[in-house]
Amino acid sequence: MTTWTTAQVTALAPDAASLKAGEKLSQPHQWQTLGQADGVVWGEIKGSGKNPYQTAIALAEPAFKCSCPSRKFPCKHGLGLALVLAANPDKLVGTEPPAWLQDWLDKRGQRAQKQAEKATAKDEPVDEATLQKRTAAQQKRNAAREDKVSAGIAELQRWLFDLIRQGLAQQDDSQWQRMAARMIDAQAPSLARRLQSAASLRYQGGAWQEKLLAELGKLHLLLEAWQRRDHLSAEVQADVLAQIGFSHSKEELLLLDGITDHWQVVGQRQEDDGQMRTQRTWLYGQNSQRFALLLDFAVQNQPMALYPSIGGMLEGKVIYYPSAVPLRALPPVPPIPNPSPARGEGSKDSNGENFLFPPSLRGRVREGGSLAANFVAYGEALAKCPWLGLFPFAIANATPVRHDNQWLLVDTEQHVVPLNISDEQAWILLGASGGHPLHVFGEWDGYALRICGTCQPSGEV
Amino acid sequence: MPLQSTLLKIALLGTERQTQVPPANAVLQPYLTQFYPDGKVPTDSRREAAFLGMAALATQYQAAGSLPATFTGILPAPDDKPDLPLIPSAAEIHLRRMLADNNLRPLLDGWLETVASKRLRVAVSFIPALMEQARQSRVIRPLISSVIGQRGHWLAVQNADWQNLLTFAPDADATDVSVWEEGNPAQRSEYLQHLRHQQPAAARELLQTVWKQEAAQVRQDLLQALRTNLSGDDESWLESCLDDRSKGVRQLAAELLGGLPGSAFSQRMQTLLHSWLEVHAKSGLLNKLGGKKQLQINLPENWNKSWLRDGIEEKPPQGKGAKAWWLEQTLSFVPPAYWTQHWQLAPADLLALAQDSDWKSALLDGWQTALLRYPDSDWAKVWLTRTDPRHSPLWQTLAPADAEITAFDLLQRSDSLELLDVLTHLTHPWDQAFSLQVLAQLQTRATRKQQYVYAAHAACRHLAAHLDPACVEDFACLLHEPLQDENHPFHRILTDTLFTLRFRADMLAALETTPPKD
Repeated sequence: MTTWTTAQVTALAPDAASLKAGEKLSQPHQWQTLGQADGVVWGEIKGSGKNPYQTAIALAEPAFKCSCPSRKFPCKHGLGLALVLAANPDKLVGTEPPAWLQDWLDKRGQRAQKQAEKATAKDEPVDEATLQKRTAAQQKRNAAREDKVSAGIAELQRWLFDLIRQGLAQQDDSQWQRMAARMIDAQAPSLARRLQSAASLRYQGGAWQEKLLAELGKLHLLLEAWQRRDHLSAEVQADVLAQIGFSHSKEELLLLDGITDHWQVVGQRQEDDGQMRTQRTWLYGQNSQRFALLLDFAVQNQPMALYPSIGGMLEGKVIYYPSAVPLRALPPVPPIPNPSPARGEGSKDSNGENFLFPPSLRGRVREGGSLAANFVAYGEALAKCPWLGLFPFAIANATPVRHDNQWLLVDTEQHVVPLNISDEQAWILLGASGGHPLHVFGEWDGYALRICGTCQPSGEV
Repeated sequence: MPLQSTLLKIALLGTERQTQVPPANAVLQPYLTQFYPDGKVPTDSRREAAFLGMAALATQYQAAGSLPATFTGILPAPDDKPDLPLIPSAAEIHLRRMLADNNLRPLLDGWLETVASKRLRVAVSFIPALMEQARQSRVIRPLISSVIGQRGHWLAVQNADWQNLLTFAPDADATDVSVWEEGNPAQRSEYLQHLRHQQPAAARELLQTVWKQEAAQVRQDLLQALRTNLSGDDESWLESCLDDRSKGVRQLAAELLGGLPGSAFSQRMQTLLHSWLEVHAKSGLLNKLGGKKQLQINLPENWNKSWLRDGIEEKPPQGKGAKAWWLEQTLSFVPPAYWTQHWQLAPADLLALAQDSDWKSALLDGWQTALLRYPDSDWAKVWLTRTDPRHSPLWQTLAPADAEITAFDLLQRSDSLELLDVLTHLTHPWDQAFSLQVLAQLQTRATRKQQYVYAAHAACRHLAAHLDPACVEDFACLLHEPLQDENHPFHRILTDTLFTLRFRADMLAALETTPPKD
């Protein structure tokens, strides 16, 4: 049977208030009817209206439906129902979908069909002239943007030289913010982000001056690389473009080759900067033995993309964004549309021992699971792409420990890395370990490790 | 790393002050030569480009070649002890909500109590939040010490902030003397209490062996253990404690001796009071015929130094007379039941006599303190009504059943809304029959549609946390009218109360589901 965890439901909530309201509706007896069949759960609950609200969730996507007037999505009824599914799945006793549910499912089916038709229509061949016109227009737009970016980069370089000529001791914040805004104008949004995060380094304490100098070095390298991009390999060019802020259209990416595999979710993190929520999901291909990073964003009330929880499995073709160190990827596309996709398999696996690391990754962890081996992999990747962001670390048998008020992770060779972790989470991690070694999956930023998933012979954080 | 530090120095000061080409090791030297072909610092913008290029190179060189540091500390000893079973997963949402929602927080104590009594534990992820609760409230520490399980205690060993909040380990061997020798004060008290239950004499002797070396506050805390199984065997040592250096210890020893009717201390108090108090028939023929009595009081003019050793101080606190103060203190060391027997007078009669007396306040205060020290339900029931029963400390001296009877009596006497506040003193889980009685009382008051509903807020919140959960539907049924009528003054508060009641019933039901196997 398909189930969700409470943590997964929590991740779906558009905001804290909705979650709280949803939790108030999470007791099975509050629902007049509850049922599930064929990957859909439904329920009816009394609200302020005359008729009970009709709520349903199609688990695969997931998709929510509710007859209440709330603009939140999913609404509190949807979340409440999802929480019932998470905590009391045995209470979903109904098996016969009611008429209103069938209507919704039918409409969804039709919509999906229309979209599929539309997609095919787009791919239909057009005549030669139109095609040429389209290509020419696209090229013109691309050239205009490149000019704009080049001008912006020249300006940034002059500024950077001025900065270093006068010395970092002299810098003031407003300069950095102004320059970041200039990069937005120059259509180089990733450069703007880079400047902003470099400017905030000094407020983070520690060895911020060293980190800032390192950042400026990387920035300089990036600007140089842009100016000499024609001499670079295609992969490095792709990295340079990505670091500046050129995005890939999904259509372009879909033309690339992918890797078909069984992908296991090995780690997940969510971040919220107040405006946008970001979800980072790490997959590991069982045969390809490669990591893939799925990035998802949700603004305000949008629901976040839902993947199986850690240990769960996704099957299909993963297409990587082009890079010298390919990590970011599009979510796996299942080979054949499947009414109940791979999701179910994940929960089946969770009964097996050591489910988090599949046999293949376990092998990797055994051979290369030491911190030293992870550092070597990181060094190799860094040699290919100096602007490497967060890098996946799979560490076997590592013990969390608090030493001199710092949280550390120690491997079997007594090597150690600092953890980037809140005190509360760290105590929970230490409690989960009980002083025993854990398999840890995390993201390494060159300074500290952020933990995305851990596993002992049973269980996870 | 000389290259790194040289680069940093240049970066901070600015390249316009750079005079020398930074030094590099053999590996980086060839690249350095590329940046500085003639071995000199250029003067135009090539200077900045060369410097930044060098910085980028040095950073990458270091990052790509860096190795993890070696751990030099000591890893904690792993936790291999067996642990309690976890609570059912359906119960976790209730705990999460109680921790997140201040309106539901009052239910936490009852929930923890149930979990502790079932010998279950919570998942590790709740431990930091629960320890924060333990930090804020002393009374729930024993419960939290139980529900965090063995793993929680293992964690606390490594967290100095938590260690002192825990009272005992769930599977602690009660006879493990290391707890006594190495534990925190709360754990040592717990150990001594336990021993006192099993072997009263051994506990006393254990305390005697460390008595001299402990601080005053610790001595006082540990001495509390003697309340359990107090007997004549303890007398001689307690008598010696009357000479202790610490006033707190002396007072406690006197209090304990007062609880031993045959002790020399009790004899001294009784003798003293017999010479001061006398009950005889009231003068006048009518009074004599009516059997009316009078409490006559003859207090000495001078302070007797020997009283000090028995805990009776000479100087009264502000607002009290010296003689009244001596009387009050002496009375407070004699169990009130003694007087009922001695004079063959019921507590109500004695209360009436005291209220007629010139020494009224000394008598009432002394007896009230005595009642708090030596609980007696017959007395407490009467004395509760002497002052405002909503604020009386005497509730704590009543056993749950007695408290319920007394509270119901009071509620029946008047239908004042404020009077519901007496319920807030009933901190045990209410009996079903009593719960129904309370609901009937609440219904009577709600029907009168009083407007000052806020007077019932505290009582309703308390009710939601203590009413028998089996009576939730009775609540919905009996108070159907105000719950339905949105304009009813009680609508809001009763709706909130019903919500909390239902949540509580759900949370207790969730704990009944079959626990997971691991």
